[in-house]
Amino acid sequence: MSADSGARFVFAPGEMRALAGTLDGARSALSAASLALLVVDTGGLPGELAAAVEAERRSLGSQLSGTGAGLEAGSRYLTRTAEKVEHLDRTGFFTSTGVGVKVGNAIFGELTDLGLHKSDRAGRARRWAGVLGMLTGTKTLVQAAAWHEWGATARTLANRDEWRSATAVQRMRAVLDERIGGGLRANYGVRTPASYGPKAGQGLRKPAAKLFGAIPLAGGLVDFQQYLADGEKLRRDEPQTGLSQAFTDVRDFMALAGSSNHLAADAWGVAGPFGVPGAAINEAFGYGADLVVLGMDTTATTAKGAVAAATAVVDAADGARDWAERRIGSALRGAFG
Amino acid sequence: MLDIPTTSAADRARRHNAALDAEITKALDEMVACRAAQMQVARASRELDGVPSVGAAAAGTRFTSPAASRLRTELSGMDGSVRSAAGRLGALIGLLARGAREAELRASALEARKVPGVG
Repeated sequence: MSADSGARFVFAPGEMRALAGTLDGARSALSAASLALLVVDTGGLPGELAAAVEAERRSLGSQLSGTGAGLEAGSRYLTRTAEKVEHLDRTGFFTSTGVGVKVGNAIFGELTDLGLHKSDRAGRARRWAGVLGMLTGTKTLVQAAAWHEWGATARTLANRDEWRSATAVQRMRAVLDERIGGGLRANYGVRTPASYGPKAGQGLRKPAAKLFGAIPLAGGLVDFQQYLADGEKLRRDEPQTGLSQAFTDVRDFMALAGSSNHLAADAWGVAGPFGVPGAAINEAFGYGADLVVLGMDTTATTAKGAVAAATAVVDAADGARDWAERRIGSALRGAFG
Repeated sequence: MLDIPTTSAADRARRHNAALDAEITKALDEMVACRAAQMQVARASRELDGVPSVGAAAAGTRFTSPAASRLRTELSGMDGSVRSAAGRLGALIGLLARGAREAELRASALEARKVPGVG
């Protein structure tokens, strides 16, 4: 089933197979040329000429093998696509034969969807549109359903990893290399200001550069201080008991782990990726444990407050009773005494 | 008995010719190596000439899809790559031919410097 001129997707399996054959032929000719190039003997050539021929041969060999890989990928893509198209053409009789087959197809589709717990609205619409079209003789519906199926299939063909362009892969690889290499280059030697060379500076610039260059070391010192402080905090006893103390200990331990990680990142000299776990540990565990401890403290305080309030109420009641007794006593004394 | 080197004119001429002979043999070996390599490269070039133009073959097809148009672009690029490889092979053949010619000229120049009539 190929298409009319208005369509975005046209598949011609015969042409595709023919082109795949051409590509295969080109690839075998290329590999023959590569092989012939491989057996060129540079042994007896004079030195410079031998080096030049060797270099050119290597470069040509990689160029030809890259082209051959591209041709192979293209041929594979074409063959597979042609196979798929032919398969769809063979199974396409479901969309073009009689009512019984169409109704059977629709019911079978419903049963399959039920069995697979799948809700395929587009498929259902297409199947019943086929039945309706066949019953009413409205070929437009059948055509539309068939074209919908073609579009869907073609989109999956175009998007799936049947064939990736060799140059696209190379481009992605180059971008990755550039990013990784750029990152390494950006981090490399950040801590050592140039004391010689064109960027060394003169006069006050040199000591100033040294001073600013020491800032990361100061950061390392701060991290070391933090590490010592966290260790101390972990060893220190808090005026807490039970679960609250346990959470405080966990928090202090995680803070210590985080700051030791910071210290390790400083020692590695790579601020970015190695520092991240330290920061994450500090932030996440620190805030989390802070919240828990705060919550427990609040509960304890509230409980204490409630007890105090209750005591106050009881005290007040006691006082009121005393007062009433006193008043009643004095009144009785006044009346009878 | 000591082997005392003689310094007669005939001996000197013989030694001169022998040294030149060694140089000539070297130059001729280089020429032969250049010619052999040239023939091998020429064979690779002939093989490359047998590669059909895939870009033209792809341009003659009717199927259309985004992937197909990408493939067509790539294939025409591959045509260019094959053409440039053929050009570079031609340049390599020229280089080797020049090397062979230079070695040949060197050999004949050395031949002319030989002292005639000495064995």
